Amino acid sequence: MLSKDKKSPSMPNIRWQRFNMNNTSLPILPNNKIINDNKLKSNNQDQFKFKDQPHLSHLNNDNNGDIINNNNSSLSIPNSISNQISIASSLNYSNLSVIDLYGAQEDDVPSEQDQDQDQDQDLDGDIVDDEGYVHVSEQLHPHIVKKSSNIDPSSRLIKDHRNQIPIINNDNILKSDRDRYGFKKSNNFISESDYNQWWISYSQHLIRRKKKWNTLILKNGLSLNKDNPKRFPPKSEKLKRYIRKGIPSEWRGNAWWYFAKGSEVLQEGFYDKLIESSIDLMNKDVEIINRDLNRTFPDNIYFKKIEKDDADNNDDDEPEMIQQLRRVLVAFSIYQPSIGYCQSMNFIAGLLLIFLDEERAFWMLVIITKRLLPGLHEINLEGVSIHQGVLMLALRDYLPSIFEKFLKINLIDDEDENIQSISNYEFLNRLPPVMLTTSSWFMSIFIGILPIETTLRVWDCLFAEDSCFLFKTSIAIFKLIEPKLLMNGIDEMEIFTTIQNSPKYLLDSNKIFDLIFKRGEFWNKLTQDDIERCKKFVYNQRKQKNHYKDNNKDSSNLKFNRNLLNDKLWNEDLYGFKKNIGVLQWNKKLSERMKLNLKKNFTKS
Amino acid sequence: MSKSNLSKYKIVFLGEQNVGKTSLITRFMYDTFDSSYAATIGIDFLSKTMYLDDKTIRLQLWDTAGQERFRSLIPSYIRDSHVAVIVYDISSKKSFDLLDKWVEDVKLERDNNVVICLIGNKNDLTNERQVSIQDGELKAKKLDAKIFLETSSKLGYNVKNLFKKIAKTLPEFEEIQKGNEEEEMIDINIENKENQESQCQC
Repeated sequence: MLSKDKKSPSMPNIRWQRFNMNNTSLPILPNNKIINDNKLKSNNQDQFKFKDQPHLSHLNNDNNGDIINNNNSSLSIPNSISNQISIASSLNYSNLSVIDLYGAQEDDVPSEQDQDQDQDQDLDGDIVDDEGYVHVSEQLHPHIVKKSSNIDPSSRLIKDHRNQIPIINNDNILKSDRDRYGFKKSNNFISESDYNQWWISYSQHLIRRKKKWNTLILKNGLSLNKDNPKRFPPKSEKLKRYIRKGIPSEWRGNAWWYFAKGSEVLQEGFYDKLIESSIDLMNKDVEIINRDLNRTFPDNIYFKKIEKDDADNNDDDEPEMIQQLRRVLVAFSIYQPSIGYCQSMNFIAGLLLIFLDEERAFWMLVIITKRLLPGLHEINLEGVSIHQGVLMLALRDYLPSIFEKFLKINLIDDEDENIQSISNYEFLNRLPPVMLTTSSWFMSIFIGILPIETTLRVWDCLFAEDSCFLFKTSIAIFKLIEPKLLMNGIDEMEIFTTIQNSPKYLLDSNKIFDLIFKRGEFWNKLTQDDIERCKKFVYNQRKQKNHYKDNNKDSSNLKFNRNLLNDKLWNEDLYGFKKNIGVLQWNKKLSERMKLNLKKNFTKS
Repeated sequence: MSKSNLSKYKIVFLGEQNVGKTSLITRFMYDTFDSSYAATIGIDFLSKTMYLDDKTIRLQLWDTAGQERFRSLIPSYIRDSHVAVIVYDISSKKSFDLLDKWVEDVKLERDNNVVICLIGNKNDLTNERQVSIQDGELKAKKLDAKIFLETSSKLGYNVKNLFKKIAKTLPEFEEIQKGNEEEEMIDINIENKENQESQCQC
């Protein structure tokens, strides 16, 4: 049995040690404020040892695999220099200012009119065969399984790789009322004709990008593997730009897995063990999961209830996808009892299952909750408030008018004290109600907030660049609706409605992405380091106000899970990321070898 | 009258997961029903202008997530709500048993400055009923709820009636309410629903 003191590294209190220093100075976000150059150069080379790949810094775990401790050490900076660090980070950005729009070098930036046109001179057309985007007769949704009465968890041992997104076929898409992922094209905000109109032009963008990706893969000596590449090029500015312009949907599952370093976390056979141990498991989490299964993507063709054509049908008639979703969520609730199940994870797991097989979807969920958005789904949801607090800080720096507007909401009703005073950061302790509208932006990682295609592009960048990208996206959304929010006489209700509904119209993902990477805007220089510093700051502010006193009031719920597990499952290793293969490094070598081979073959012939 | 001059009232919907908070609101707003709605994450916000007895008011409806852990996020929404609609599912004893803690949350933030409505939803699931109407009424008394109704979002039963009753507790309609004490009687007979709703033009 799991002894009480043998905590998993992701227990909130341990995780938050990362922030647990007496740093009370407010982190400075990258902006156009004057920077003191001298201070910058003197300190903290270490802090920026990942300068080239800032988004990978948190993954640089040492051999004991304890990612948390490692992060802790990289953030354990003496208070006296914390200010300089903040400033130093700003310099870091100014150094990077040659990198701009979509991460392209200045001289490589495409014209405003045609941003996704060939800035790459390497496309010679010959390399790219018709693999992938010339497509004839595949059905729109080939992997739908209508009947599956077997809900025995072991049934999934037959690994399925059916989760293959159909290749772009405009005829199919335009005729169908559904998109490539099985979602209804129309909703309360977007009509089918809006969708079709957008799709006609956007699919051209997708086809262009796919060609470029094909070339990139081949140029790196990697295999397209019948339009299902498993390995991707090593990190580079070019790759970053490609990801920012969208990974081909057919490849997304593999690409996410690769860029999020899934193979570092995956432990062969472990997921199957979890499922086995969850057979007949009944506890609070399982109960809540069961109630959410049919409320995950009720409109999606893979998830929606199978219509009962006769009275004999019973509950066994459950879509395969729902069964997978149940297994992934239940397995996760056992694996990570400090989180268990949190509403919104059903959407995350559901979307993963559209792109990845069950086992990998499970591990991706682990990566998302552990590495990318740690603390966010924990039982007390304090992580939500911390993330929202960071968003407030970012708004304050980048969109101050909106920030002030938000503070004013509710001010009249608050008789307590001057709680919204800006100088004492009380707004971090009592977040303006408006901020809670945006809590779901993070909790469900924009699923249901942005249209699906836009959401997927945000996910591409999340896995490659970490959670700072979610803040960039949020700021860009606010920038987009700023004129409306600042209109004279707009009332609170209209503000809420605008924030809640505007993102749902953002069908054209290029619109929001162009804004995220717009030259001259400073939010696109936000790094993960900034975000981590801000989190720490918000955490400390809130902690001081005793927001944590009743943290573990509800932890009795956890008892359900713990007793049902055997010791093996609670091996400490399970909670670290011990496999330190260094996939990218390894892959780089491999691709170099492949290139050499190709060259040899070429010269031979 | 321009929209911004209307009196506005905040109504927050609370209750366990999957009791039908979203479907109740959707029925009121659009008069539609789906068998499944996507789970609400955090908070959803809707507003509706309501006409009643020659008066016009604007209602702000706050739809909340039902899972227990979301309760930590909700207080600031409750803080200035005029009405709290606390929903349970008549086919789930559990959702009924957990009502107290929701009421507790509301009273903690608003003392008694809030109208509490107790709603037993999914009234159409007669065969699966686990909570009797009498138990619901008793509970309403105990919790000091001004309004108790059983509703069915699926059939549209008592939904408009609920909002009408809510409106009548608001300051805007206080005088009218005093003159119509008999309307306080709650009619839960499904047959009467058409009559109940005929007055309401919303």
